[in-house]
Amino acid sequence: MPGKIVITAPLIRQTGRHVIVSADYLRDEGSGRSILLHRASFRFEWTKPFQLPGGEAFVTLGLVPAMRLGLPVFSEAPVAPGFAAQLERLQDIMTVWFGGGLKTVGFTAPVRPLVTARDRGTAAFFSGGVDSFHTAKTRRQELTHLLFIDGFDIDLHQATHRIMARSHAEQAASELGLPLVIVETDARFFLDKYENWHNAGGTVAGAISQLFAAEFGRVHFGSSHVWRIDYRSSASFLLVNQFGLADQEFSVDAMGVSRQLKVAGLAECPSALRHLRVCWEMPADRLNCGRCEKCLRTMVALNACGLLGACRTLPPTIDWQQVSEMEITKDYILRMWNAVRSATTEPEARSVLDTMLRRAEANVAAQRLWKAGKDLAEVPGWPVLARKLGKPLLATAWQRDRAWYLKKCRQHLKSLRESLFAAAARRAGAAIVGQPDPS
Amino acid sequence: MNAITILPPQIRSTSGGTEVIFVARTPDGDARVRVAHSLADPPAIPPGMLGDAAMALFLLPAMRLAVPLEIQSPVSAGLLERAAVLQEIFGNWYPETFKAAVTVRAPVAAASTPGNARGCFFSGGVDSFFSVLKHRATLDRLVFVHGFDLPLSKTALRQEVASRLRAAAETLKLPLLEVETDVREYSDRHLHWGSHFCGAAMAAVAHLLSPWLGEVIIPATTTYAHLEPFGTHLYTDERWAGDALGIRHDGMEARRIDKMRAIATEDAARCHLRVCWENTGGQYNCGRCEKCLRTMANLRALGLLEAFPVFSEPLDLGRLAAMEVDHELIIPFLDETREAASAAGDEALAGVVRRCQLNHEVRILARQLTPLREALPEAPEWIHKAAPRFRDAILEACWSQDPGWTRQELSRHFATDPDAALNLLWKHDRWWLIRRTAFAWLRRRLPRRFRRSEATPPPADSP
Repeated sequence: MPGKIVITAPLIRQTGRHVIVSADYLRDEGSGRSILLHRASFRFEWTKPFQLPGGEAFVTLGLVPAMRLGLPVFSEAPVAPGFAAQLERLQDIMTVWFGGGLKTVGFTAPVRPLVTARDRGTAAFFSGGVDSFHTAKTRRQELTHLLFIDGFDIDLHQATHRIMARSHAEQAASELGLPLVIVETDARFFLDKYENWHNAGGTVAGAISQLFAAEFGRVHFGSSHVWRIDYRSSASFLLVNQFGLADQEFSVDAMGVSRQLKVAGLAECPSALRHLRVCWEMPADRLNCGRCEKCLRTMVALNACGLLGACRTLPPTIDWQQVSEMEITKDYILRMWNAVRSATTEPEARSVLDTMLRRAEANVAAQRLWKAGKDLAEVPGWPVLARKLGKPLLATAWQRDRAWYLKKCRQHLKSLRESLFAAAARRAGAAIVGQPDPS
Repeated sequence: MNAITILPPQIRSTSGGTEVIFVARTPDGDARVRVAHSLADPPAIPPGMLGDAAMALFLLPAMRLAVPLEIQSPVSAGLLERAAVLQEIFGNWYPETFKAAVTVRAPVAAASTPGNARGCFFSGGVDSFFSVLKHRATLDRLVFVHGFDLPLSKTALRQEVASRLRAAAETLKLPLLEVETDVREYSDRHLHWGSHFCGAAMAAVAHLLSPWLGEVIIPATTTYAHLEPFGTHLYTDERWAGDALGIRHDGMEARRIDKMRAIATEDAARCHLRVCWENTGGQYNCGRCEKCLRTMANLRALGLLEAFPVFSEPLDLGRLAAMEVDHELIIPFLDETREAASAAGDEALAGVVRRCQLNHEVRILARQLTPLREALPEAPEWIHKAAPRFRDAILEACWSQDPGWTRQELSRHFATDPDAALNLLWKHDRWWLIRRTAFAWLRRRLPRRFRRSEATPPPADSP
């Protein structure tokens, strides 16, 4: 359907400290007819008069919906020089990564002058997780603010957990001696209608960073990725790195530091041990459930550094039985567990982790075997491999699919019957064949 | 001496152009790297650009040797800052090769005037042609480097390649700048060209050309979907840029097969495409190596193989099926070919490419044999999902390799359910069962002196 998406000039309403910045996404179908797709808003507290130099934040936020609808975007508000070229690369990456449902779309907007203020601050995104604390700690001298996104990983309707997470983030920021800006947004409600949150969520961080272009010259984003494992998600370095502006640097932080090293570094940050939040399960009564894979991984990592007892937001002891039974199927999580295992020195813990990781590695290999499936059987090298795998494969087949197994037995019955009969007879305890007469 | 020290490079005007020689004092002795190009009337190369080139050439070797790097020429402030990130990336990618970040000492260069032209590295390959055609309107110069993928010792082949690339550039109406370097004599001693060094080497050449060029394009090998570590990479190439030179890693939005479709409209590409690294028999494109084979397969899938008369041999599907995939990056290229062949109804080609991929899968699985064997008995649901043909193949393969062992294994598991065994025998081989039962019953009733052989069980392998 022809048309375009028009993003209206952002409206700023400031009452005292309370600021609401909003803009409309209109689907212009031509001949003067427009449909309101969404009114996006950001709410936060700001003591000075808030200034917004351009419309980049709302363009970034609306990019994925526009790509999903395949409609060009027009922003009434001006954007920074070079922003259109950045959007092109961002779209190229998203199209290649997240599939054909997203189409590359055109973009037009007036160009604004650069922000030249020299007294702008430096902010870092802060969720209360390991990466956030690492960035807040290592860049403490440089930072002037922390940014907490309310409505990002915790849905707005999860009121109890949100209040708890906000409260901990506020206390942590206060202990770190930095003001915390809590930005409440319904962006997830908007984006979820068009694209998987995993693919689209990172744009919210980009949009919020750009929202503060007049206030922060540099924004740090504590990456949970490292250079080697930058998997496809909207929070990956490659995507997030496109959110910088000509007059604002967006810096992806600590891609060279493994999560295990970051956890070890928490020893120097007592605030982190009081307010660490890693869990995505969002239990109503506590910050971290202590049972999910991420909680357990963090607990084992803390335990390896001797910090588990000191962490007040996670259970003080690890249920090793649960760790040993954990099923890991994703390669990048397996790598993180391997790093945790390398840092673990207790022999018993190592033994549990070894068993669990061996099984996880094999599961990954078994999945590979299954994916290649039936076609593998036609490869010349396959019989040798099948012979080497034969015993466990047959045992698995017997356990999982007896009907098939018996069918195969039937095919080979002539050759099998002697051994089958003898074995079955022995098992049954019946002296039918080859047994001495007890009498 | 426990550092690499780069002396100020020597610049000489030669009859054919300009020559820059870098001398490095290294723990292994002095190393000399020569880069020459055919621009005869060079403006003075600012020291900052020489320092940037030295940084690109020697940072990774210094990391490899784990010794500090000292550059006596000034280096761009931006590149000095990014050197830490580059070290972080390479250290994270290849922790065994680059064990620790090293200290880099160099004076900071004053701002210099960048060139105003735009160049593109051009080897004559698919990626090069794609980027050149994409940016044709804004390009001023193509850059081909002798001594990168083409060894300096192969004089005759170099002459042929150079003459064909000149012809291609002429058709494209763009001047071709030829550069010659012996950098691999030094780098190959410490680093792997493809995995580690090729991007840095291109950046070094680009810095030496920066009095003429303000931006250089490095054509990308892969798409955004494949960001596995490699010497030329989106993360690293653009970070080798200096204050006076921009580097752009270009063309990641298109798959290799899409690039081929795009360049097929251009005469220069059809007549002069060059993909071969092995050059068996001194051929321009040998038609036998892995890269020639998969390029030809791509072209056949697109119905364009006849349009590119640049290969010495026709496509041999048998050779393609037996082709060994030596890098994971090649798998997505084969996926593209298979997809295009299936779409074009060329099932023979699609099947052969699939066979080639499966050969690779088997090799990978063979490497994972031990954990697989340990895990299979408690494997997840995959066995339920396995296609019947695959499960049949497991048993057929075991049976054909070792019937005795397979029989034993079958009976072992089978015996855990004796009722099923007896039912099966009764259903399918009841006369044998009756005969054996009757025989046993009769034997038990024979006088004891006739039952001497009873203690001997029937042999396991008896038919």
